[in-house]
Amino acid sequence: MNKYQNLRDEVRAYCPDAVVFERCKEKEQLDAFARIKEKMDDYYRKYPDSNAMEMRRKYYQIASDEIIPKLFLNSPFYFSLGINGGWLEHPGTWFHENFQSEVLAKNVPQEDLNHFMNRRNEHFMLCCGAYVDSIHHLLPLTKMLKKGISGIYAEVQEELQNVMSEEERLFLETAADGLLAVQKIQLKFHKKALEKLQDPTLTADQKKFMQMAADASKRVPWEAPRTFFEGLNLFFFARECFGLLDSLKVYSLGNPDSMLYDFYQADLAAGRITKDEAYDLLCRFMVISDAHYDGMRTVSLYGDHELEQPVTIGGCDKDGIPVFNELTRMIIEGHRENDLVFPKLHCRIGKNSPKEYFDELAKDVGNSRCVHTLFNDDVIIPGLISRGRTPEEARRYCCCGCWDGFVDGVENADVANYYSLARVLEAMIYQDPGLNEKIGYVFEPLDDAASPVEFRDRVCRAIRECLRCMLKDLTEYGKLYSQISPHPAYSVGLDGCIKNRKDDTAGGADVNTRVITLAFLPNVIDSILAVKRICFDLKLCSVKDFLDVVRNNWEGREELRQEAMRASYWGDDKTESKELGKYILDVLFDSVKDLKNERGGTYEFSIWIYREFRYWGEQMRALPDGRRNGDPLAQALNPSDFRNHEEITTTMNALTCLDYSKLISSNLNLTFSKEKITPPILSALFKTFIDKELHLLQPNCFSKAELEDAMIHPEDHKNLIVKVCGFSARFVALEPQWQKIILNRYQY
Amino acid sequence: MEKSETLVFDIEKFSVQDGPGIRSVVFLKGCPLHCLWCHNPESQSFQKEIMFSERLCIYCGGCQSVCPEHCHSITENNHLFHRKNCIFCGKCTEKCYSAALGICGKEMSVDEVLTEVMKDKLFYDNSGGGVTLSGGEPLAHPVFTEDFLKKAKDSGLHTAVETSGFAAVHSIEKIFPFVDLWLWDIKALPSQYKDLTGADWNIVAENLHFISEHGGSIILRCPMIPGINDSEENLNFIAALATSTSGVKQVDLEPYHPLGTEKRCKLGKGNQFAAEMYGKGELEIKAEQLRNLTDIPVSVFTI
Repeated sequence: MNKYQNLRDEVRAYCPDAVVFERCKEKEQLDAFARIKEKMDDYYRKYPDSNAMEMRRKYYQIASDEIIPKLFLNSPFYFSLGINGGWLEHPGTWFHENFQSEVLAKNVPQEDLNHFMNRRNEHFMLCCGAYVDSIHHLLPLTKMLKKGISGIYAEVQEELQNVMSEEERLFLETAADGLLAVQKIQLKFHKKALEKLQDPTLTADQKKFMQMAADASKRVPWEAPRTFFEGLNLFFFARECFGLLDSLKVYSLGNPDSMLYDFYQADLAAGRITKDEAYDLLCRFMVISDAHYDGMRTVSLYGDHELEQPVTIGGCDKDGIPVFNELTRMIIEGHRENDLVFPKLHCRIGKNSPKEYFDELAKDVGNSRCVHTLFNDDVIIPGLISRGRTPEEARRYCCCGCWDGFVDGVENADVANYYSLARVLEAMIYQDPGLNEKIGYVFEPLDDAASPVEFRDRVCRAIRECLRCMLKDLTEYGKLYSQISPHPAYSVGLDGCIKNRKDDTAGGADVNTRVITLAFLPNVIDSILAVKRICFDLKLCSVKDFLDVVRNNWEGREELRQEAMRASYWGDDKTESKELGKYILDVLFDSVKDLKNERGGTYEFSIWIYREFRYWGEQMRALPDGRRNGDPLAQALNPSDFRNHEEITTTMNALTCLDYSKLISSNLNLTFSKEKITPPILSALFKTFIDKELHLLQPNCFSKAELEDAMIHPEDHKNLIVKVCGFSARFVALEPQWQKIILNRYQY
Repeated sequence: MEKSETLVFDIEKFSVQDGPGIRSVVFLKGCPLHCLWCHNPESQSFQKEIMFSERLCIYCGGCQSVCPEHCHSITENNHLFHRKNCIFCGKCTEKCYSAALGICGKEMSVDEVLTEVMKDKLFYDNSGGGVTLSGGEPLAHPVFTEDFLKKAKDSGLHTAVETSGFAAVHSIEKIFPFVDLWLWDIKALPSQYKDLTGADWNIVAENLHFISEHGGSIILRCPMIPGINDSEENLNFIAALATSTSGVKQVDLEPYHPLGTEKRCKLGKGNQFAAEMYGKGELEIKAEQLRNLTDIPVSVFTI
């Protein structure tokens, strides 16, 4: 039996089988959730004029009173409140349920609200929240490790002496109550652990674990961690606790190897821990993450197999010296040895990282354990510095969600605001009756474009203006989020909120970056170039006639489709496609440079896409790039699978045309052939990816024959893990359509 | 004097089997050998050629409309290509929607080829790779080959030459200082060399000896054609040659594959040769036999 099977069984018996739309199985906790909501309802009925901040204050008290902690006997980690960082439905959703509709109805004209909903339903934009992305958050881990919750609490208390208004006082007092609620929950774990220790049936290991939990929870995280274990526990605990108390969805599990290395060294020196014990702790930490869902359950719903539990490894220290230490090795080895899918391994890596680091990642990927994302420090750190972070801040960035790196305690991740460039093009081509009214934007037709420049400029104008139109609403109505679900306890961990005496949702933080994620740029580039080739270079037909063929899904005109696909395309390393890619991005950068977001910060861009390349693709009709109705769209910066015929060197060379430090993040999801590529070659490719200053890489490596065999004999291929998009899954657990998509990806 | 440009029929990026690391392989068009099983028959002629696959033709008539020599006659379901009139202008290939027609061979200067190859320099540096000149037969393009290799070395590239070794020794002497690795084809027993390849084994052997004597690094590459050159006698010969030639660092066994068959049809040459492909693991058995005969490392190519 696997060494950690008992722990895995324990976690599996507690967590739901799927990830989305289900809850933990602990009746005690579910009853507590119900009681919390009931008490909140009662209070709100009694005091119906209470605003969201006042209700948050009450909620801190009720939630911390009622919540029931859960301990896993086969692990010393104390953290579980039954919400997995906020992903599952939990009592904190009370705020959205009670305030969202009311606030929006009161402040947003129905027509604007309809536009917002229609833009989402029509796949122009996906905003994960009410006009803001409310689900990606990064905790102030560095501050909590340094001074504990009590240190932040003391700063809040001090600032309370300076308040100038009741609103400021309410914010700071609420935040202080929130932090005290964290402490109360921590002490509940302490009590629970002491109770468990009375259980005579505990094994020796279980006793040891409960004693560790009891000892640490007496003081941490209210007081700063003093040991490696206490620091590691903080990553789970803070995620869960702030998720519950501030209705957040917190994803990151921190940077254990860089943030906790000093703790580890101190423990070793003091004889508090051995290397084997540290490895065991890290394994248990990761097994808990992996066991949060049943890895063999079929991926069929949108959010299946998505845990949003990334661990960041590698990177560099505050002086810029690469981090690849004993803990990094243990995390990689433990993940491999225990055949884990989660946590996601977000690997910060740079040109000065040691070869061993590249080799270790290549060893996993080359063996079809595709659980990694490579984050290029040499792009991301300069990008952060150019946006105002200090070098020391930038060097400690933490990867959260699927693909973004932010500085904890300084930046609040806000990235899940997708904008589909291809949908804008589709709307222009198809001119669907009534669409303009539904969306609140008039899409100019393209049929009479008289030159390739005019065609390009019309598309770019629409991309620019449609975005600005949507951002106008996001900016105006995003401000309302502070009336829906303020998060003061979380806010006071962000630089600025204490001295500004204002919640993060109200713009209290010093840094208020808002990220728009651009989707399907390659389809737009390829389409514009196809029109240029067919209608203007070769003069085979008019734009209208060509678009008629596209609108007819290329029926009976395969020869024209083939000719369209001979045009230059994104990823072919030709001047034409590279220049157009840069041009469109410049248009977009220009389109937001005079805008301030709802919190007074800037709008920035990312380029990546989650599962929408399939789901939105299924709904999207043919485009001039040769794509047919319903085909998948391009993934992030990847050249379109159906167009690509280049070798990997050409693709990487082509993609160097963009300055990635201007983007928050941009992802390549590349698939390598296991028959052709050995781990040493993969390692060299990873290194070159970094040296060429590309941005993020999610690598896959498998053999098509192996995948085909896995579809017939799944029992023989349980270890085959593929990167689907922002998440990984066991190939045999994917539903047939997903398997087909993976199988049909362009393979280098 | 031969110009420092030549006919190139392909530059293959991201090759990982033609020398160490990640490489670009430059295929020069033209070869003095005519190996029966040649999997790159388009590499044999020193002239441009048109490759035509009627299977891919959609009978759109595009080629017919642009051909200045009227080489294409198309009816509803039939496309006749009259090669003898073709002047290799390539207009038909540019017009062909379905890739049924393609031109093979492009005049390229050393600088043009080097510029293309240098695009991947970082990949070579990070993987211990470089550039490989192949063919056809690079030694049959002596001026281009020498000039290219010199410039490649000046540019800091690791260089390999894949060759049959069938060339005048002075062309080998000239390029020797600029070659880091020789991928040396051993195609048959000496007694069968002429019949199967058209080349004189003695010249090949002398050149191999020269390279070895001068400290060159050699990988013997042996295409294994079932029933033709994969007998025990062949393996004994390869083993003896590898063992007795001090510069040989490795022996590669390359499985026969019938890619050349379709290409010959596309070139209008008809199919002159066919052999069975090895079954799974069969070539590895040959490799094991060879390992028992020599201490030189033996590896097996995958296709």
